[in-house]
Amino acid sequence: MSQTAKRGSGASSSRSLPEGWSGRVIRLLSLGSFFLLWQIVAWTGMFTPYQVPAPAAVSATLGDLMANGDIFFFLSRSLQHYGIGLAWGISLGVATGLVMAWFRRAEQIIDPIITALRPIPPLAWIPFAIIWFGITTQAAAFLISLGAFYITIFATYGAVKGVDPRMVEVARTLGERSDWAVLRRVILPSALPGVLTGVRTSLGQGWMTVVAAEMFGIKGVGMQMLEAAGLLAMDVVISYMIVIGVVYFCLDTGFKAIERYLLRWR
Amino acid sequence: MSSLTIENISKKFTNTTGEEIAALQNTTAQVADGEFICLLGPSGCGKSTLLRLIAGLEEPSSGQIQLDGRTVEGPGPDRGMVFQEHLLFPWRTACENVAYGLEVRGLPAEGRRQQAVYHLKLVGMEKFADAFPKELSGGMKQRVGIARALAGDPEVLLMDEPFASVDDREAGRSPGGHPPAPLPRQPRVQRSKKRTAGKPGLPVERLSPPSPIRSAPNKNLFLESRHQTTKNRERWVDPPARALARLGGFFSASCFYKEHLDNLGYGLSKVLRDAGNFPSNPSFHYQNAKI
Repeated sequence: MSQTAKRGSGASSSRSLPEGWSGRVIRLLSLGSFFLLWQIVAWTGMFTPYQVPAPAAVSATLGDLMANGDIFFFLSRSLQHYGIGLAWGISLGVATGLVMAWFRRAEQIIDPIITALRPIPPLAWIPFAIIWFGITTQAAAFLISLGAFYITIFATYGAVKGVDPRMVEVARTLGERSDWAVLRRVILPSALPGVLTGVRTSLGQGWMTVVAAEMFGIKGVGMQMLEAAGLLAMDVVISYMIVIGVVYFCLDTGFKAIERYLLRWR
Repeated sequence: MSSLTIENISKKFTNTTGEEIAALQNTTAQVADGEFICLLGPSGCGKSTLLRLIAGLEEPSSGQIQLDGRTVEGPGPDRGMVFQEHLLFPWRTACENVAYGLEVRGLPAEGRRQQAVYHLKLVGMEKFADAFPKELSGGMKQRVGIARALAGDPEVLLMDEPFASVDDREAGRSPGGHPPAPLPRQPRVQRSKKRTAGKPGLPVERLSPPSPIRSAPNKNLFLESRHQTTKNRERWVDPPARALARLGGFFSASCFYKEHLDNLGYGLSKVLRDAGNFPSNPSFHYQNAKI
C-alpha cells in the first residue's frame, strides 16, 4: 500500500518538475507556426477577408479595440455576469450537494428533480431568463449559474460521499461531538479536492456560457461578437475570440495556483 | 484512579445475507489502574471489536463497559484511540493533527501548539511538527497518531494493531543480504533510493517475513524476531515509545493505561486470558515477560 503510494508520488513529482528548454521551445514553435500557417492561408487569397481574416489585420483591430477601451468595457461587463453567475451557481451547488450527501432523505427528494432538469442545456432557458429577469445582468448570470450549479452539485455529492468514514470516527474519539463541527473540520477539508475539481470545471463551462448568454442583447463580449458578425467585421469577431481565450487561460491558471495552495497537503 | 470494567459484553453483526454473526460473546474483563493489557488472537476473533466497543465506536448488543464507574456511551477523549492505519488527517500537519482534540476543547492557538509539540516530543517527532502526513513514513505517521491520542490526556489508551504498518518496514529485517530498510529519521527521498538500489521491483516488505503473530504464533519465531527488531528500534524510538515499539512485533491489539507509560519499559504486562469468552476461541496469551 505505502509502496505503491510512494512510487506513485515519485512519478508525479518527476512529472511536475519544470520542463526543460526543449519542451518550452516546442510549445512556442507550435503556437508560432499556427499563426504563420494562418497568415499564409490568408495571403494566398483563397479566401475573402471575411472568411479568413489575416492575423496581421486581426492584431491591428485588436489594438484599436484596446486603444478605444471597447474591449475592456465589454469584458468587464462579461466578467460581471460571469462572477455573479458563478458565485450563485457554485455556492448553491455546493450547499445542495452537501445536503444531499448528508441526509439520505434530501437525496431522495432532490436527486430525481436534478436528474430530470440537468440535460436541459442552459441556453434552452434563454426565453425564461428574459421573461423572468428581462434583458439584464441577472438574466445572463442566471444562465451562467445553471451549468455551474449542476456540475458542483454532483462533484460535491461525490466528494462528500467519498470521505473515509474512519476519519469521522477519529474525530469522534478525539472528543468531537457536534455534527456541525465534524462537517467543518473533517468533511469539508476531506472533500475539498473533489469540490475544487467541480469548481474548476464550472469555471470553464460558465465562461463558455457567457458568450451565448449575452447574444440576446445583454451588453458584453458575446453581444459585441454577434453585432460584429452582423456587419461582417470578422476581424472584430476573431479579436473577441482571442480575448475570450486569453482571459480563460488567465482564470484557469490563477485557479490552478489557488488549488495548488489549498491542496498543498496532497 | 482509573479502572475499566467490561461486563458480559456481546456483540453481534448482521452480514449481507442477513445472517447474524457473533463477534464477541459474554466477554468479561477487568483492567485496573496502571495495567497494560495485550489482546492476542487470530484474525476475526473480536480483538478490534472489543477495542471499538471500549472506544464507543460500536454499541454492545448486550452487556456494558464502564470506565471509572461511568458507563461508556459513544466515543470520547477519555479513551484515546490509535488506529490500525494511522488515519491522520492528511490536510493537517503533524502538529495540527495532534492539536485536533485540543481544538475541539476550545484551547487557544498558542496553547494548542505548545501542548502538541510536547506530545510530539514524547514520540520523537518534534522535528516534523510542520510536516504534512504525506511527507512522513508509515512509522512516523503512526507515532504522530500515538501523540494525537495522548494529547487528549486519556484515562486509557486503546491501540488497534498500532505497529501493523510499522514493524516490517522499520524493523530492518531483511534476509538474503538485502540492505536493511533505512531508519525513519532519514528523509524519504533517501529511503526510496536505497530501496531501489537493491532488487528493483521487490519491495522490502515483501521480502521480510510477515509479522510472527499474524502468520504463526510460534514462540521461537516470535522470540527471534523480537530480538532482531528491538535492536533497531532502540535507535529511533524514545522512551516510552521505545517500549511500545518493542511490543509491536508481537501483539495484535492492545489497550493499556496511560499512567503506566512511564515505567512501561520495566513493568509486566498482563494479558487477558479468558480465552473461553471468545467464540472463535482465540488464546488470550498471558504475557508476563519483561518488556
